Amino acid sequence: MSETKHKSPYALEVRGLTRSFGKRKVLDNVSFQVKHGEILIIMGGSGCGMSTLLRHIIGSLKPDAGEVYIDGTEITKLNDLELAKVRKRFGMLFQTGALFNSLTVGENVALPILESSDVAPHIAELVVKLKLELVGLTGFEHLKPAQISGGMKKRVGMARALALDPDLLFCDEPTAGLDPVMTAVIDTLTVDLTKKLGLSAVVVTHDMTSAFRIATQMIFLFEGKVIAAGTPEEIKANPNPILQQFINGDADGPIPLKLSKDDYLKRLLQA
Amino acid sequence: MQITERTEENIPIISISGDIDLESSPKLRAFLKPKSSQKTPKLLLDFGGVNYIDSSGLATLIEYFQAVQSFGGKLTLASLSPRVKNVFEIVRLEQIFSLHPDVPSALAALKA
Amino acid sequence: MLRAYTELSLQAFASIFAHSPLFGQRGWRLSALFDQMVAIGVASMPTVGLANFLLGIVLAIQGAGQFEKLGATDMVANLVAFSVLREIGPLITAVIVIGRSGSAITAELGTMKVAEEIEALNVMGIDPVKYLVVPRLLAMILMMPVLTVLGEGVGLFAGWLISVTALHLNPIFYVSNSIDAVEQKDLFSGLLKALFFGAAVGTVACYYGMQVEGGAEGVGKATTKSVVTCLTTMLAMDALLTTLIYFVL
Repeated sequence: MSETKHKSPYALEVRGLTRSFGKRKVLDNVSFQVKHGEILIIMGGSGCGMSTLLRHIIGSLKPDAGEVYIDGTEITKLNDLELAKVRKRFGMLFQTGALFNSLTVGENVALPILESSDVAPHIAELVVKLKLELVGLTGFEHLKPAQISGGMKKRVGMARALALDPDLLFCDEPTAGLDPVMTAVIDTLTVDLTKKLGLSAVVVTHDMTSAFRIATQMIFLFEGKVIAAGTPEEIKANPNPILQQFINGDADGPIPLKLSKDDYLKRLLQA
Repeated sequence: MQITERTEENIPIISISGDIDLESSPKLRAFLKPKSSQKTPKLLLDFGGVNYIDSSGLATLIEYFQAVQSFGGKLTLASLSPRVKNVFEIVRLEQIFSLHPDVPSALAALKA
Repeated sequence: MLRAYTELSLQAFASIFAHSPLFGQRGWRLSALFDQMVAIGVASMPTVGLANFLLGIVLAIQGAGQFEKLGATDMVANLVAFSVLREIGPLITAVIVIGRSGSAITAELGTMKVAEEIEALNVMGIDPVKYLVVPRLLAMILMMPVLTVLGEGVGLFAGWLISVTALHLNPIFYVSNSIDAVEQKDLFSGLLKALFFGAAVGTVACYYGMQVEGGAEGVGKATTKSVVTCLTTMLAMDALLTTLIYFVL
């Protein structure tokens, strides 16, 4: 879409998002904004509610409280039809790629184009070629997902997410399972898309190198709360010990990764 | 999206304005189809009024470019906004299309 | 659960008409329907044929045992024709289709659900009901009667074959006896049953597939539940329709 068509200064705005599964509060009053053309990185340990947060933002899950605005449109209370309309303007890369196994790579990328418009099959085919080139997979159109590696599947997922030229791109761990060269390719692509086309991106990742390479804004989730937010420089300078442990990848620190040693020995010896 | 056509020095100049997207690119395709089947030797597309082009728009142009290869037809594009030019560059299409800052320079390139 | 099932079924039936390519709209695809008709229908033909063939033989031999006592072995033709068309044909065809295609539909949709493919469709703004459920349901409804007719044909032939060879009945006489024994109503009641069985199996199998949660284990459990529910629903429907047809027609 052209820049003049933006309804809100924010591509995405999340206000007070709260969600519990049973007694466990997975999201606790989460708020943040993403301006157009920005890349927001969501960091946090495994099981800290990052994927759940993403699912709420794309409208797959409904929150207990709070709102999600996509370019000014509140989506948590939309019906399926209205939501489908908003969803045509964003792309999503799933953690595993979520490719359709019965379709070829090319058909997977062409699917959103053919299902949402009247463009001729030949045009869709050319668009597929353009998108596959973006993710470095030219010539792989005719293979089935089962014939390619996990990292390739993810890149096909990226090509499919970009098929309709979205304004907003969501990525769930885009670089997990990719080699360093392909990680750099995907990172450069994400930055190029935002800088040159004005796309905004929200990326959930555990890969700190990649995160600091592409982020314009970062938030850090811990036990369902945003405990730090800011530019990459601000995050690096943030003294919070939990955050520092995570960024530096230290085994020892305040993050309760394992039960303490005493606890472990006590449980081990329990009858 | 609006398409208008005029002729300058025997070269058809097609001015496009508005957005070239999934909805309008079939219209552009329908307009270009007869141009390639009539083997139009030279064609200038004036992008002065285009503020957005998506991948289906690019694909439509590529399809025309493929079609004119068979009879050596020439195609130039003029007056692309920086943003539209970026869309071409991100998929390296500036390497196959001849892009020009304005209509006179695009015309000159066609006559050369 | 019943509510979710009803919702999905209503939505699917509504989508068949509301997004029909026959009315020139961009909806479910005819090509997807044909693919499913091949997967569900054409591929089931050998098994459906074999099952009906074997039951045709069993019916004729069992019938002969009883009719012999009455000295009316000729009546085997009546028995085979009547029961194959009214009951055995539609029933055994549905059983085979449930085991073969109903389970496959649940397993396939369930695997797609687990692999986030259904969510991906939703996120792309593509309605999974329109894209996945409708072609499968329609193919089921269309192919069940076709398979039933085929199965009935094979069953009748098997009855004739065994009667002529093993029971030494007159081949021509057998055929004319069969034709005398059945009315048009028998054929239609069998096809009516098949149509309803198709709709029931299609909706139940799709429902269980779309419900799957919890990985490969969830797919397995859902498939088992789907087959059991399809079978019981089909038998209940059979009893209901048989009663209705008996009293109404």
